[in-house]
Amino acid sequence: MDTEQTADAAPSGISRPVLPKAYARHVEEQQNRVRSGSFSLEDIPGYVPGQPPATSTWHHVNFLDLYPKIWGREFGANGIGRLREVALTEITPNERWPWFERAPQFVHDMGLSYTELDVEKMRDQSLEYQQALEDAGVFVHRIAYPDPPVGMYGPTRGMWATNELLVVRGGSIIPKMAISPYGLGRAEYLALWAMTELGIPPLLAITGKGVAEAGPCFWLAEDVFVAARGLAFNDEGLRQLIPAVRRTSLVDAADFTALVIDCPGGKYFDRQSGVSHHPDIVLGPLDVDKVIAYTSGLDFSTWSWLKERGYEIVEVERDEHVLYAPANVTVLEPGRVVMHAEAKNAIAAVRKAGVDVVEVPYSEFIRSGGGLHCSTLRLWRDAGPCSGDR
Amino acid sequence: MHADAEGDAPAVVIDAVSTQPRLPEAYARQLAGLQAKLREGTFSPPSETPNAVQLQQMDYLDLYPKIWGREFGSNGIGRLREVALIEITEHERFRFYEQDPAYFPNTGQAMRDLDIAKLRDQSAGYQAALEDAGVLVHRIGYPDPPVGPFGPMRGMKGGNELLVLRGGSVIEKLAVSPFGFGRSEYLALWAFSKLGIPPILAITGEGVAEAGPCFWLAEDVFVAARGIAFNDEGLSQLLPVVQRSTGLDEKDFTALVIDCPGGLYFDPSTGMSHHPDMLLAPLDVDKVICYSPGLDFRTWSWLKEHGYQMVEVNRREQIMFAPANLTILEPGRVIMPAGADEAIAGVRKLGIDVTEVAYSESLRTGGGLHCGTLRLWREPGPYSTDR
Repeated sequence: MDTEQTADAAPSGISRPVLPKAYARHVEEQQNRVRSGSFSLEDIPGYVPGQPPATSTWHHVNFLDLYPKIWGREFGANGIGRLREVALTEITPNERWPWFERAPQFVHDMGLSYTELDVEKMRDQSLEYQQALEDAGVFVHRIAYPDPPVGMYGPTRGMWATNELLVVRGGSIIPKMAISPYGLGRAEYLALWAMTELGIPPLLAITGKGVAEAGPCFWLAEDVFVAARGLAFNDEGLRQLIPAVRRTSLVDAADFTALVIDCPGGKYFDRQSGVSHHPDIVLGPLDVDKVIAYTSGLDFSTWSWLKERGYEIVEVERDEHVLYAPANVTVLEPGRVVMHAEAKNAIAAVRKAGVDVVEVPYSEFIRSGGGLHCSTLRLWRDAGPCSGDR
Repeated sequence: MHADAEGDAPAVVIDAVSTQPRLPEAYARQLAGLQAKLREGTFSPPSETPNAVQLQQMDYLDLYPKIWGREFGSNGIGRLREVALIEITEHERFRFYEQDPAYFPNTGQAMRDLDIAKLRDQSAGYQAALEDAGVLVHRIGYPDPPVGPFGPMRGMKGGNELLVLRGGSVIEKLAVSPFGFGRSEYLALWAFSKLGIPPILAITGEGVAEAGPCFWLAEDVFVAARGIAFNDEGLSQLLPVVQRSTGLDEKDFTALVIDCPGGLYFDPSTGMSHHPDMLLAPLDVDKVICYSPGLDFRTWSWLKEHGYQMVEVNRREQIMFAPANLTILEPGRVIMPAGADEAIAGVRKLGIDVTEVAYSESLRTGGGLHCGTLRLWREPGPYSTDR
């Protein structure tokens, strides 16, 4: 361990954190309530005069009922309900990783070449995406990294990939990365931003030798969470991730499905076959009963699960998948998605399935290894349908 | 269930916020150091392809100091380096106590007689003792008046509401202290924003685990409880995270879970408690202090079978002073509450160096030295077998 062993001197006097706005507002409201004398012990759940608080009440209070009353707001992007709030990263020239020519193996490019990355165009595409989100009523934050962005191994790359952090009801999940050493530290930075600016605390960090790149996970419904097993998720990581995610859902354990795609091959993205180890590259939700998928990237049990439950599957062609990863969508609400404008055939097929599509050009992100879903830190959705709500 | 209470359904407002978080000092320094390396041109990426199998074998414990720029965590009983105490204010006298004293937990010393000025002085005396022992002490202030999700907050002095492990903090979920909800989250925000200590677990669902009153007997032995303050669901969330923070395999890690008797957080007539740190504490790698009637037989037997020398607390001192609620500075050196004369004599008789601090006022509101201390960082200490 080569980190300097220091504890920063305690400042003389009292130390207080700066409160996120929603939290500060909620504290103030409660303070006013206390000052005005409108508080009474009778307000407390389960209060019986002359008796101590009972475990019969307090051992059954769900965290989901508590957290908004602590932090002053709801958050979490479970399910596919209406998207309310996201964050995107500020696009800077640092998106062109200066060491690519010397170490191209650290950049996960897809069908479009990274060498032709146009950062100005990337910024414009990101702004256009922001506009599309705002037009759909989504509040968009922008996050900026330190300049130059750095992580534990030196220069950070792929700052655009804001979905490094998975935000579920009640808080965030800090992933532990596997295949992107120059991505380590991004999720922690995002977690610090989310907690200190918005009052969204981490609920879990993947620790030990667990690996789970949680951000590329997503939902098909309130009760169906999609993850993967492979380069980006090992069994230990999944053991930590899935129970924590399940507790943030609105359903009991017996009614919760974690659909874990067993990913083929040994590359994050194989430009020949199109298979990937991030679930959001090969599958995306369109509506409560419709998905878009690159089926060659799905293991048979996942494919069968979708078929058996009657999902209409819009299949992506290999050539378009390799070039444009059209399954990497942002679902705005059931039946309404944002897609990569370049994926003309997939968009036509999705529309044919009755889904409303907003098109956004996104070629420069795909050159850097991801798409719309990868670049979106989904902070808050309304509660949406369960898989049985058809 | 829904824990509805008047006035606590927040309005839906989305705030525009800063694009960048304020960076804790150590983290900012770490980033600046890495940036300087880049600017100097001394960085060069390795030529080989990243080995996914190798990357999957990296332990979080090796990563986190390189991300956050410092070590933290108070696993074990190694030398205590850094803590936080809470600013003592008039709000420690809970103004609603008189409305229904039976609703609130009591120890052997009456809450009615609480002297805030004395409480503040005693806390300052404790701080001085810590600093004399080389411990860095932060002071945390709550909003004034302090409030939580159900209205007024009480017991802010309980700095150990947050458990800090190697790699991050654990946000507890309280059981029967409605006026304590929100303290742990506030402390977690403080620790993250000021020191770069991220939460690595929050107890969620219907889990209950008041993690702060847990403690260690060694690097490989963690003490928790089962009862009012910890249910099985809470323990099933807490213990695996604690185990991973040790870097030990599951088989080499012991979670000593005290099955607590009775139905009161603290019974002022018998001295029973549902917080493990009211009943048992480390003195050295092979020595503990305990109120043995509060320990289930399995825990008592485990200690005996593993050869621990036990200083037994008598009922009178347990009720009045909770002497097992101590702060261990390093193996063989502790801070204890003055007044617990027999316990202190018993501990000294075992060769332990004891610093006494007056702490009577804190006990009036339900806790002692361990309860009042947010333990942020310890050096690695001995394993249970290092004797």
